[in-house]
Amino acid sequence: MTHPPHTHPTVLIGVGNPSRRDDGAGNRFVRELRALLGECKNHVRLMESDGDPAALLAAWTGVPLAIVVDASNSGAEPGTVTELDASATSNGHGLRHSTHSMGVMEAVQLGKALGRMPSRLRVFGIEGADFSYGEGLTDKVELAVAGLVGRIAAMLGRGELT
Amino acid sequence: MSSAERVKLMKGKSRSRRVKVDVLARVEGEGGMYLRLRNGKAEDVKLRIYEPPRFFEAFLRDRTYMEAPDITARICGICPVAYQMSSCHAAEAAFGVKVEGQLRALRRLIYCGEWIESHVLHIYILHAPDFLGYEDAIRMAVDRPEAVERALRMKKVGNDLMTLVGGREIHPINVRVGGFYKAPAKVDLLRFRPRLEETLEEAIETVRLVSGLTFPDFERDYEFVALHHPEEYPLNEGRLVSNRGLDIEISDYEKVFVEEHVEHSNALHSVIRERGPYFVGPMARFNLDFDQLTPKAKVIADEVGFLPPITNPFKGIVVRAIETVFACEEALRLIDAYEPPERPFVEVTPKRARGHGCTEAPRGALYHRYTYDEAGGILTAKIVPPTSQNLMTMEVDLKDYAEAYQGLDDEALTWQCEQAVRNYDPCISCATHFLKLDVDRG
Repeated sequence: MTHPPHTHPTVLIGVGNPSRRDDGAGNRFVRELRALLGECKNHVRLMESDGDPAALLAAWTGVPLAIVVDASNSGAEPGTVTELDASATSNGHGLRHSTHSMGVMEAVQLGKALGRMPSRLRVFGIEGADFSYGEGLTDKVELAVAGLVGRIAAMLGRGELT
Repeated sequence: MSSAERVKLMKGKSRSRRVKVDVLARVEGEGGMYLRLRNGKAEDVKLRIYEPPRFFEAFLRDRTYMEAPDITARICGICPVAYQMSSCHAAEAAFGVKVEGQLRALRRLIYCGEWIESHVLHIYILHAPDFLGYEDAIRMAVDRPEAVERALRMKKVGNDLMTLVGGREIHPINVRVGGFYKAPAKVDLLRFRPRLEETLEEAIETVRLVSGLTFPDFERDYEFVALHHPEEYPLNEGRLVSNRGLDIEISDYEKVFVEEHVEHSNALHSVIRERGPYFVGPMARFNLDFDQLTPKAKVIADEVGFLPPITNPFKGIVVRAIETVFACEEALRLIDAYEPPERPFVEVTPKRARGHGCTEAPRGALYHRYTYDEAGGILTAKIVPPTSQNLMTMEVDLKDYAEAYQGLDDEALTWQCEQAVRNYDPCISCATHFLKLDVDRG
């Protein structure tokens, strides 16, 4: 079942490609959180995306809060979770370590240019180790995803993400 | 002789320039370009395709004819319908199956959806920034938000049409040999119709917009190749024709066209035997099949002064816009004439046979050939995408263009050469399908 984004105060988007190992961290995050919470619990819409900027804009335009989880490739220790409030980011700076050629940074830049942004956008990056062809996350990334799922689920439970 | 004197001598003697782009931007897939100019001549031109080989022809073996449309659709996320159609037609040709009437119409309808989304993506997001002086569409959106918004709207209509008929926009799930798993209801198509009417108007505006762009002065005498059908602009059916007298059944494709492996590329190069490179895609269709375009497409082409023959590859952006008008118009016609078929597919009985399919992907003719065993298991497969058919023509274009415009500084020449590659809307992921990989560890 799909809902127009404006009926949900919060949309949670996992960005990635599950066929490129740790690049599927965002997808795994959404799947685990969905299994934990169900599809529309706590007025949150969960979705996966391949990073297509048009799809991201369609999902988050006008939403009070959008949360994006994506793999990053910045050279940090694998499994490191970084958080960025992209609403305050002037032009996507800090998002340039996305693993996609047209990714979250480009979506933010396009959204700002077109006036199609959520009221708030929080981006979580999970540092990957292996982006080769294949399925499955490396150990540290798997742990990081599990940790972030728990953290977000707790925040949802406390009403901090609506 | 001192090292400084040697350098001066080398600089003085060498009239060599190199244009090197490690990663081409705004193309689908991963490729690079290398060009060496010496004494006014382009000595070495290479389009380096380093997207890894994907071996689809190999792992299709021992799969069944029913799996080929779903497997080959994965070759491309932008033109999956083209692969599904070519593989379906190949199986149907082998097994003596005719898909006619409303099922044939539905195939044209889903193909129209793919042409709309693919062409709009290329026109506005990949190619227009070149002509307007922007590094990419995001920077273009800052100054021209209305153009990018229009592109997103139009692309969504194309994608949604693919979902309406095919069940999903990327790798549709409703296409099968013999037709479809489920036919759409008339009411659903009629509900969608107003969006197509709006998109048709936006496509007409797109033609007016892009026909006003400034095009480099560059013409070549190409051999254009496309499907030709006496009554309709080609999508799924026709004979293969060219502007130099070619006129063959698609089952004779391999008697005329041959693929060659070149050292610098993971993609095969396709040529016409004893003739050389050729050019498939929108410009080929436009030049060979103009009379079969729909009425509004012909009217807008005439209004902006774009009538065949078009032989400047930079003007491909206008041709794509005209084809988008056609796709919208054709989709509306098909919806108006639609009545749900009695059954969503024609029964298929496999047999030991060989079958050929050739349909017009957004980027040009896409050829499939399979041999099947008595149960419809695939024994061999051959897939020739449009981009690999255009690769040699693209390299010749680069050579001629670089020689003609060598007066530009390196930065400008590099930009224009990249633009020259983007004229072809190359789909590099499609081009790297080949089977054999020779590894020389000597």
